[in-house]
Amino acid sequence: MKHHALPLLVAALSTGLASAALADDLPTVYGKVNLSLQAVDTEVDRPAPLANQVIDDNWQMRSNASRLGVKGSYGISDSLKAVYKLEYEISADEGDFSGGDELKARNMYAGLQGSFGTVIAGRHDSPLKLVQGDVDRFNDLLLGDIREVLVGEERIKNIVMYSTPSMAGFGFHLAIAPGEESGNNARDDGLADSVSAAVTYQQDIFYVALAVDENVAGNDVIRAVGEITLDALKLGAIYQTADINRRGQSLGLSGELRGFYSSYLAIAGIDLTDQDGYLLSAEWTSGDIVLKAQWMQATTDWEISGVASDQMDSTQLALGADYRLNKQATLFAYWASVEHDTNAGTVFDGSTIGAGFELKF
Amino acid sequence: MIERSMILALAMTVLPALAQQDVDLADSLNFEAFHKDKRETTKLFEAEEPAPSAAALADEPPKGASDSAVEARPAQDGAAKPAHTGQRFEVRERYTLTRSASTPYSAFYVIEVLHRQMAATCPNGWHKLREFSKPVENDFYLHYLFECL
Repeated sequence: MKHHALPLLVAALSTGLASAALADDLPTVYGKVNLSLQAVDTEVDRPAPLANQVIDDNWQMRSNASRLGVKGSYGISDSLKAVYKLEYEISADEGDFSGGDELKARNMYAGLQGSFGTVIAGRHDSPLKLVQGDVDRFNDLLLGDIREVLVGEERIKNIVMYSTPSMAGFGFHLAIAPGEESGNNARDDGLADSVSAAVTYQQDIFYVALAVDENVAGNDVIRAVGEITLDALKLGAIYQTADINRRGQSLGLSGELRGFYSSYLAIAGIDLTDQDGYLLSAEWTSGDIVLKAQWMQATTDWEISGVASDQMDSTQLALGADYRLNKQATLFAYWASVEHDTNAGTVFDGSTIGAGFELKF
Repeated sequence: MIERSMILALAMTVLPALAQQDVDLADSLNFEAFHKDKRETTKLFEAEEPAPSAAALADEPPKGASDSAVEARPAQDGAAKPAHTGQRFEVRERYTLTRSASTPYSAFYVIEVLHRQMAATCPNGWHKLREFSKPVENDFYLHYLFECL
């Protein structure tokens, strides 16, 4: 579509939304702006005679997964309704992302919901990713998110997903996605090339979940999550084991350090062949103040095109505090450190300290 | 530029979320809660209202003119009336655009009736959210959705 036609489309969409709003339920806008100002220090320490490489050593304003979403539902019958969600990440600090885009697609779907549960199709976080709940106390924060260490934090394209309603505290979730490959050498050309499934159980003070990925971003992952709430104290844990499903597709790290990890290796065909890791986290609330701590450790084996291999031990530690101004607004401060030590002697490490503000709407 | 236009267009045409947890539920597997309408509206009328007889209509004003639903009835004994701040309600009255065996009232007349009901329900004032009509037989119901201040 040519750009000069897009304003007309926007106007048409606006008119359409307004008409739909008059005819039925109005769409709901939701989102949040999460901004932080923080000192960042990330580097690669290499064995002599190689020189160390500083990646970042500065102060940064960061937009931490700030987003804008539109959701809604339309009644089809007394027992069935159509549901939709369109959610985009916004760059609240820079205004646009690298490449000039002002919006970055997050989860988006259309589906049907009834007493049977919810079926959606589109693009969405995998069930395995979402079972983490609030156990990741530093979700979306630089060097604090579990994606800095653990694989499995994936958003799946072309997803079809079914979720049951809560049944005596239990929920079951299944997602499939075709790989959409074609050609003589296509492997992922079926209906369910990627599968992610989860069972969750929530009852009073307990939350537990078990999830499995098969060939999601080239990995097979099993993740177990648990959380217990003891008055003001929440204790959480994640255990995860992952194996490679498809060579040449897996580069498990998705966090800040991935970029210079891959550039350091500077070679194609890097595969993280397997990973075992765990996380422990705690949160203590006193009035409007929430104190948080998180510890994570993982061991990851990787190889380069089957000819070289190494092992990496990863550790993350994060500490932080939130001050809730009200239900929508929170001030926060945190410190986080991540270190990846390879047997070959190279250390990828990073730390950050900063403060920020989150406003939900 | 185009994306900015789209954001502004969306912001101008949709309602803001009233439930702050929407953004949190969006990152969960709880689709049921995420798509539940958290702005529950209390209907101040019976779901299926039987058509009154013509004789009865001749003798009685629309029900809202005196005492609509229990929730909408003004306090009679001087007791403080509940403000219902932030709560949403829906009222309706039947009207005709021609001549009807079911109601003698015009749209103009039921507007006043509906305002009396809103005043009785929200003593501190209200914000009218939506106004729409739905056909019933040869007549219409005029609906008001409102939120108490």
